Amino acid sequence: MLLLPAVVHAQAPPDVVAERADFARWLETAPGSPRAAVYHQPFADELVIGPGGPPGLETLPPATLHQGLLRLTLETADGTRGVPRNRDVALDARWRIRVSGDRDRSVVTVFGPAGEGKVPGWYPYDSAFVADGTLEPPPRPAARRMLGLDGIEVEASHAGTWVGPVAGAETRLTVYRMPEPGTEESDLMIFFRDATNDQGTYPAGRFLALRPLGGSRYRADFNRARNPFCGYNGIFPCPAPWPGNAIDAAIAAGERYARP
Amino acid sequence: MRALLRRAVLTGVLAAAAAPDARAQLPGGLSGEWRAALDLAGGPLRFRMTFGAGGPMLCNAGRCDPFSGISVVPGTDSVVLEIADYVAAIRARLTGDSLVGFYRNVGNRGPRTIPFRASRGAWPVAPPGPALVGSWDATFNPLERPSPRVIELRATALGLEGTIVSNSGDYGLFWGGAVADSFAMAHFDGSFVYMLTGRLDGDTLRGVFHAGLRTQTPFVAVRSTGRPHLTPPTAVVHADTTAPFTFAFPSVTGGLVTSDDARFRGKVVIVDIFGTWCPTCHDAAPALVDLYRKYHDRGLEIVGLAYEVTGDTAVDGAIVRRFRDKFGIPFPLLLAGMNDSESPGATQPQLSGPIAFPTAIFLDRTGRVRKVHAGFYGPATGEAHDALVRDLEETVRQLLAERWPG
Repeated sequence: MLLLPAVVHAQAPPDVVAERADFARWLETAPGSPRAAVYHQPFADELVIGPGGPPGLETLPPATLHQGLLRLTLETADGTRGVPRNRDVALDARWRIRVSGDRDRSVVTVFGPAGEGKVPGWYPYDSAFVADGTLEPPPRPAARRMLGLDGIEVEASHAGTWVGPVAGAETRLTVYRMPEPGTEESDLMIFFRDATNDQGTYPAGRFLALRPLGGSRYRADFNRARNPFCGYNGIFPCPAPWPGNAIDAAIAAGERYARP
Repeated sequence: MRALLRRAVLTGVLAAAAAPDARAQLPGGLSGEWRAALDLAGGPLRFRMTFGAGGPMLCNAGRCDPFSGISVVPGTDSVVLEIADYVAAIRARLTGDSLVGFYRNVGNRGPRTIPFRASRGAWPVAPPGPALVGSWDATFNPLERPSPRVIELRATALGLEGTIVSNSGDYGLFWGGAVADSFAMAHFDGSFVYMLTGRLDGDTLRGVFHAGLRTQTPFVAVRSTGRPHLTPPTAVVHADTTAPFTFAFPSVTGGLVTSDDARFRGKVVIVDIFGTWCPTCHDAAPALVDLYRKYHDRGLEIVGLAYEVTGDTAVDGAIVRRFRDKFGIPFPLLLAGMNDSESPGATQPQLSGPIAFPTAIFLDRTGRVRKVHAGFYGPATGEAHDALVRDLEETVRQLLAERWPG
């Protein structure tokens, strides 16, 4: 492992400060925050909520989620209603339910009152961990299904290999374009491991979205590295490490993690 | 296309950051026109804001819509401009003649933040030259996943205006400017953050479609030849024409409305599948109201089937009534379902194919489907909009001219 940088370079830019403050508030207060999730599981046809339901859901108001041939419905004491994908539906004033993923790979997440949790932490901003590099296209178009940072499987397309200087060494990292369901947006994402994992950062690794600089140039700002949702709440599945994306150096930048 | 796109999720984060509406406490001197920009990774997305007697307005080309609220963060020079339809906001600090801050909305993976800035005055008017103006057959993402679009570029008194059209509709009005062979134009309505930049390279237009802070999709385009580049709107959705088209849904004014009701008997009927969350449906509503006013006395009926966000009759009903009042819609609007991909198919078994928002289903006097038009070319598409309105009217006239066998 390399030594941590002795000097922290530069103050955090305003957008980084704003992003971190927003994110901390969202994590702490949003009804759909990963910290508020009490259940997160694939489901096929039917999910019973309330008495008789799976662990974690037995004490909720009774309801049944059905996946029919054409639509999702939620049956409660008040009647049956449709359930849209990727949006929260209130079970009552305290509990919300969200169905994500494609139809044949539906995942249900149930949210309750925001759970207790540590305030997220970050390494001090360090411009030494801002690296500009080149995205080399993949040898051939390829797509594969993989877990995003929210624990939901998406069809990601191989976007190539980012090549740039990280902690003083030329580094090659695999990049996938990961769509945000229901939008025209997607991120060129790197899921990487480094020498800080389990030594101050999340053991499974962290995500980093590349920022385009024009042409084939992309910025990897490791100060913006963030934990997968499994880092805030153990009910979310963690993505498997991406082959080849292990950085030998300690990337002492971005989001930190302290074991409970 | 916009129909498929995101709706931000309420978190209360932004609302909690500001005091209630406090226009009277605003820092002095905000009034007038501001040239504003969101600083995307691919460059500035330019738009206009105005502060006047009607309150602050967010402008896209010549069209301005009010922000839903403005407030001052207590004890600061920061203002919060709320965009309630999309649960988003711009929060900025007034420093001299500049506003500097961030635009924010919230998705399922957390908040999104895009740097925002504005200064006094108007953006320069920079219309495109003739080499750029016109229709371009574009291929988005040609290397990874090619998909067709048509790009419209026009020179107007405001500079460059245009839009992007996909198989399911247009992306709304874009505004911007051109310098020599390069152009940039954008659509920002508080939720959708879109920008198109490009450059003429010989006979080919090459550029990037920007969505949100850092999504960039390359495109290449050649001048439209007149041959269809997109799937024709009448070939997207198919219908069973062997039996009368039926529907039965609750009206937003109460009671059940069905295709068997006396008001539809022997009439030409347009069944409009729409959602209040769908900007293209907002573009289509005035055209339908015009048709209704012109031809209702001659036997035209229109019924709107709303597919809304929550599935909660009380909530969706209130939203659809607001939509009705906004456009002065005189025909019935029914709550048909939810706007997920499964609901329209489940409630419209006589239709097949991906259902676009909006979709207009034309029924003849016997109640059978004679035409299904998916999507709508809004005013941003210029001549395509005018041609579509003429085509819809001609369809109505032809169907009205048919005699009812009953």
